[in-house]
Amino acid sequence: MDKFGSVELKLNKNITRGSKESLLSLFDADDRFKPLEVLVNADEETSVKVVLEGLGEANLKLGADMQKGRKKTIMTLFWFAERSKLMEMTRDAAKGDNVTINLYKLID
Amino acid sequence: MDFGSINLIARDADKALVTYLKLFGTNNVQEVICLQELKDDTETVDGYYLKTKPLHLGIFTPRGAAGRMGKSLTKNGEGIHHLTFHMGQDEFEQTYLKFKDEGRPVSGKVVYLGRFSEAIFWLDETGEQGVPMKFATTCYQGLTMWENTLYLDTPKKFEKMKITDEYLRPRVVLNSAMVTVNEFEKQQKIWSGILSRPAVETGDIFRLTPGKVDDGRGNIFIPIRFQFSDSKGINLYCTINEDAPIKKVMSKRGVNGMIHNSACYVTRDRVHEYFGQLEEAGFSMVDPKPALNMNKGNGNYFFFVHPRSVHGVLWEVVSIFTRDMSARARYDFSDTATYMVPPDLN
Repeated sequence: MDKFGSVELKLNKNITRGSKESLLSLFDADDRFKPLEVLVNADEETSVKVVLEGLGEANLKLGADMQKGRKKTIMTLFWFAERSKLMEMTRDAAKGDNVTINLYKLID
Repeated sequence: MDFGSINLIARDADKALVTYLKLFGTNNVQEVICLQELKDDTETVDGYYLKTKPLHLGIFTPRGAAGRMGKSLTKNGEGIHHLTFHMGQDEFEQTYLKFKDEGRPVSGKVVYLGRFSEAIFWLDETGEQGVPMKFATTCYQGLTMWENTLYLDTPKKFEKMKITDEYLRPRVVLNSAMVTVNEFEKQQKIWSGILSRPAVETGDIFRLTPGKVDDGRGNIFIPIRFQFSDSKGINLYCTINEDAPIKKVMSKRGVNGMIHNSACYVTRDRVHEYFGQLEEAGFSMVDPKPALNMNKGNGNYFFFVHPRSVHGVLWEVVSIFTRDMSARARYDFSDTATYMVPPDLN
């Protein structure tokens, strides 16, 4: 499982364990447009494991071909439907907390 | 009456000019006029007027917060402020009087911009149409309504800019503004009355049949269009689902109408190339790549640039097509260079 990229974003709301959230509901626009560097090439539709450190995870499909070294954002990696995919939160967290998001390329 | 320009307010017009030259490409902006101390009946602004085709783009920074644009900048931040409509002097004077007779909130006086021999009046956003509109003419003689005109020696300075930076883009054409409204039936009539033309249902843009459009982001709306020359037009959108995000934004702002976004059109075989150029230039692209619109066989690619990188304006970019005066669309291959089947078959 190759590391695809990593970015630190700030929560825009308080969350409680067990609630269901998405990349769209957790982060404001400025954070969703924060650039991250693509570490490996990947084709469109490749599944990527998106791990919100200690909070939750989901497998999302890339919306376009990705080239190593390019700068991308949550918005340019995934289509709206993927960005809206719900994931269960595994702990409480507070608005303003920084969350490291690690992305791993799954075998396509 | 013709649709003349889309006008936005920016905190720093100089910065916004650079942004928009990068967005359109300097090859798609025929002329930039720098305007200093442009006055009207409520305020003074500075800014730029970009001669793009077929619509022009105004970028203005108000001095102070008391005038129309100043208040809007304070309340809503940067973004599109108003649409401007051009007309001959006779029609201009008749329209002003007609609107006044109809009780619409037009400027108390017509404003004469001395240095250009142009006259303008505003239809304020407090009117039924819900968004600010400006009507303008070039005078060919003294105004009949001179007693009800504010003659201003303005702008203090203007000059055609010499643009030395070069940003090359495919052909980009600015020709549409999208306005969202509530009370669909009523608003169609109001806009039709103001613009002096019929509303055309454009669920299917080629056959002009009514229909709903789902934008895939929670908004389901009925599109109609007011068509002007050179494929220019205003799309009036009314969301029909109660939980539509657009409805929530309008409710939050306490408005009945809102200029939602602008649309420009790009050479059909270069949409993806243009997307890549904008992404490379640091614009906030809303999706991974251009999307193929399959609604009612539309067949155009489209993508959005987020307002955060374009001074508060949501920009929609679509594969270029033309519209005749009935608003019927047709793909435009006039500068498409790469194809397998010759486009002149039809």
